[in-house]
Amino acid sequence: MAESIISPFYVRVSQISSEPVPQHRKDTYAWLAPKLLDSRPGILRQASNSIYLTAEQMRQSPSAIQNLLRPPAEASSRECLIILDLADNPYHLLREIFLYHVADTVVRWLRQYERCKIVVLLPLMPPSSSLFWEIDRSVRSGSRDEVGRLAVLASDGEYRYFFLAAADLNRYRISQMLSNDDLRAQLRSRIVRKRGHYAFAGRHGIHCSRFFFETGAADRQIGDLVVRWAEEKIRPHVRGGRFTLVSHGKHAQRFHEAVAGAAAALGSKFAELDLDTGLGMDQVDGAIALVLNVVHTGDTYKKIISMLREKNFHLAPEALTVLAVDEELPHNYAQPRLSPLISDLPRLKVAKDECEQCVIGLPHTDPPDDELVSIRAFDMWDILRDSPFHPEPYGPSSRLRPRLPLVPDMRQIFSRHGDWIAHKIGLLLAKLEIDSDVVFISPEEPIIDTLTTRLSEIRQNRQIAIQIPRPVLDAEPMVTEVRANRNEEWHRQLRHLGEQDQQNIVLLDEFVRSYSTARAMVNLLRSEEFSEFGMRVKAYVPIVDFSNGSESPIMKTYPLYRLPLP
Amino acid sequence: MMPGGEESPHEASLGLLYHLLRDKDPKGLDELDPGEHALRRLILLADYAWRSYDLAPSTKAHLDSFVIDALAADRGRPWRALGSAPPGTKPVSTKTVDVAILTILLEEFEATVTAFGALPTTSARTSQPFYEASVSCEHSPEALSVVITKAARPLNVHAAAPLARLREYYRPVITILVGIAAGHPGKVSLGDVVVPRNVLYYEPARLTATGLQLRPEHTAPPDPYLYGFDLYDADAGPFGDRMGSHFAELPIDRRPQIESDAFQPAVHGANTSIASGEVVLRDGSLIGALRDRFDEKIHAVDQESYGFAESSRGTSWLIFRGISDYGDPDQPRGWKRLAAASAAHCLRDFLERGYLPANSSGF
Repeated sequence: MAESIISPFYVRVSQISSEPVPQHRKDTYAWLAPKLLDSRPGILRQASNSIYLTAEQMRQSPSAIQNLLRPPAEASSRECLIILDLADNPYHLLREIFLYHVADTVVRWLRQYERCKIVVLLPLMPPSSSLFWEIDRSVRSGSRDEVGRLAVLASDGEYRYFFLAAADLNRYRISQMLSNDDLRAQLRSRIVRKRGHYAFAGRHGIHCSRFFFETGAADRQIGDLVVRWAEEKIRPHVRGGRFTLVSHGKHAQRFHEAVAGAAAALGSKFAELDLDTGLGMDQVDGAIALVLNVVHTGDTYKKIISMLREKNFHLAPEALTVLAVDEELPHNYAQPRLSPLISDLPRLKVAKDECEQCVIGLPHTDPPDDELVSIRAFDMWDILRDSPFHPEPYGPSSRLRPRLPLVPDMRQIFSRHGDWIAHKIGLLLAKLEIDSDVVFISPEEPIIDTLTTRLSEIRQNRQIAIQIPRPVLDAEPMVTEVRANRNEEWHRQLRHLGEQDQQNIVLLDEFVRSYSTARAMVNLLRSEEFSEFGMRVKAYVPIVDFSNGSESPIMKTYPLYRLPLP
Repeated sequence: MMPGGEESPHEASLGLLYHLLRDKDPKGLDELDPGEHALRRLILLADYAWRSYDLAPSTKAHLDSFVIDALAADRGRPWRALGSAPPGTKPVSTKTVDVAILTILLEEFEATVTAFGALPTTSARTSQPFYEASVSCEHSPEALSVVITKAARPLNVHAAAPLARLREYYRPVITILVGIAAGHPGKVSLGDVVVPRNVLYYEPARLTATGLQLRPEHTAPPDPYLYGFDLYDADAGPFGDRMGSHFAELPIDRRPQIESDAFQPAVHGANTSIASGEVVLRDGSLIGALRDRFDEKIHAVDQESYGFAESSRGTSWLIFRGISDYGDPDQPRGWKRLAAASAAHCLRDFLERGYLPANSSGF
């Protein structure tokens, strides 16, 4: 029997030129191919360079990918394994419409070349509402056994259609990990720096801080970094390579889950440390490798160390903390040495007597059980005082309302504080019980795009964002403009969603003034004229409400801050 | 309405005034540039006007005076005065009450509400519960008005927030912390009540090359006679009978074991201190160590007294703590509720027979 042809495509988006395929990707293909071919021999035709789309192509013509991908010449006559590798791209750069064209190519090839297997490698598994899953409908409606020849594999080990052994999936996941620096950068962008007025008791009495950090959105990155740290700094230095990962952190369930997941990947034991109840000997195997969520002054760390020492536990030579937030943290004052993943996010600690918020009589904000969804006036103006104000750059047509003469620079605000605003939106959706299968629909404007990118990071890609062009929303009547845009990405996305019924549709906008944009979006989604969409909107979330208290005429509106205009 | 509630108008107004005063233009209103800064300040002013609209008139008038400061020529850091107006002249509360009671745990709150027969009020616009009651007082011609509230979380650092919210809606003559604490065996028994005249915060310390040097802080109620508690005799009134009945009426499965035939809690007032820190005691030795090292009058230890006392600085306050355990690993079953009830009933008895209101002849 002729050997199979293995043909990988290394695809990069938003690049200005082709680049050599990195060796680690080539190694991945060489490792993966035999697994997918059930150990039968194959001829691996490594490509030397990437296939790329420029940022301009991604914006204007993402369908270009269809022409750039060419199947191997023998695809009609021999068994082939095609590896479409998109895994080295940041997920948020893989536009929905691009994923749609990738899916379309995959389905076409599966139908055309019946002896061909295809595996698509992605950085993250797209959410269920993604256009990528048009692939699902197509292959399942096909008459051939296409499902059995297709695999979709994400870098975190998640997969669809095709089963590798669990151990192989885990190895694949570990092999796909980013460099330490890249992972730390991802971790940093997912840490939520919550503004407020937080009280802490430390060795110098009660003090306050302006920020409280939440790491829950970075659980994947934390898990991966803990695995690497343990392999490099712990396993070689403890007797027999045996250790137990012990996590400690208040109000940080997802952090504990991340460490537990890391322990499973490492094949070590895991325990969550409660300072009140301590640890039992039976919970631990070998040395204790401590992993902390956030370290402030180091007092709690010292307390933990002395508690574990008193009970004669063996401690690994180094402990890890995701965040060290006090400038004066003495990293090396004691053994085990404390190593922080991130140490450049200060919480702005101040003695209670010197705290401006205490002085003016503002109560403390108690994380996490007393967290307001809306933004406090003190915090909002703390942000606004640092923001330039300028005339409204975008908005509905002047026929609907005049542009606002002076608005905050929301692009700067989303860039600097987008993590916290995205966290607030997530909190709102959770309180409304609509935080799964979320689809954010907004006008197509560059500023709101900045926020949806932050939302994507903080929500770990558990969402879809659809942007409607302003000329469509402003058209009167809208129907002609909507029909003329039938082939556009947003139109295709809305049609795709219209066929599903479990999505939580949330309208997102930077401002509301007259509700004209919101009304146009609702009209587009619900009107009988556009029955192919037919969606029910669950909430309208403008970040700032300039409507001077007027009630929304169309739906429930949840602004994060109401700002009256004089 | 936002799910989870909104910031109160008073807190929002304070935050906005701070920024208005902090960001003030050194020039007067007439000289403001028609540029970005001036327009931004106008939006800030509009925001303040909008959010302060629903404040009580006296509160609004007080805060509005700072707006005038914000528009006047620079006078240093006027925002500091926002929180430093003397209590009598800071009209941030809308209703005077004789006694405000802060509880922390749910068991404490329920026991206190039950002891006073309090009912929920609907006037406060916050999720923090406020229950109101009245209680007769031998030293006052009129019954004392009482409001009872509960903190969201334990610990000293969290005692300030519920007190601040309480003072947003009420102007209390005296504020009293009621609840449970761990006691020192040999000095107190389970169910006893401790009314300390000294609070020791044992957490502060200095880290030196040779180790931690503890630097505890002290505070005490402003009135050395504890508003009549010095002369109060718990045994002379109905407190003992009430607690006996309360105990007898408890369902068998919720009734803790006692050594004597009847439940007769003692009240400890003279020469008592309470130690306060952030640690939940389960080691059985800390109370003894604190007594040996700092103050042999320490009868009890809790996690809120110092935060409560510090947040009440400059006002009248007292602490009533029922003893629910001895801070050791074996937590006695069923004592939390009973000890909280002891503290609440003792306070009620004290208010009825021993409390000297500020305007009474005995004060």
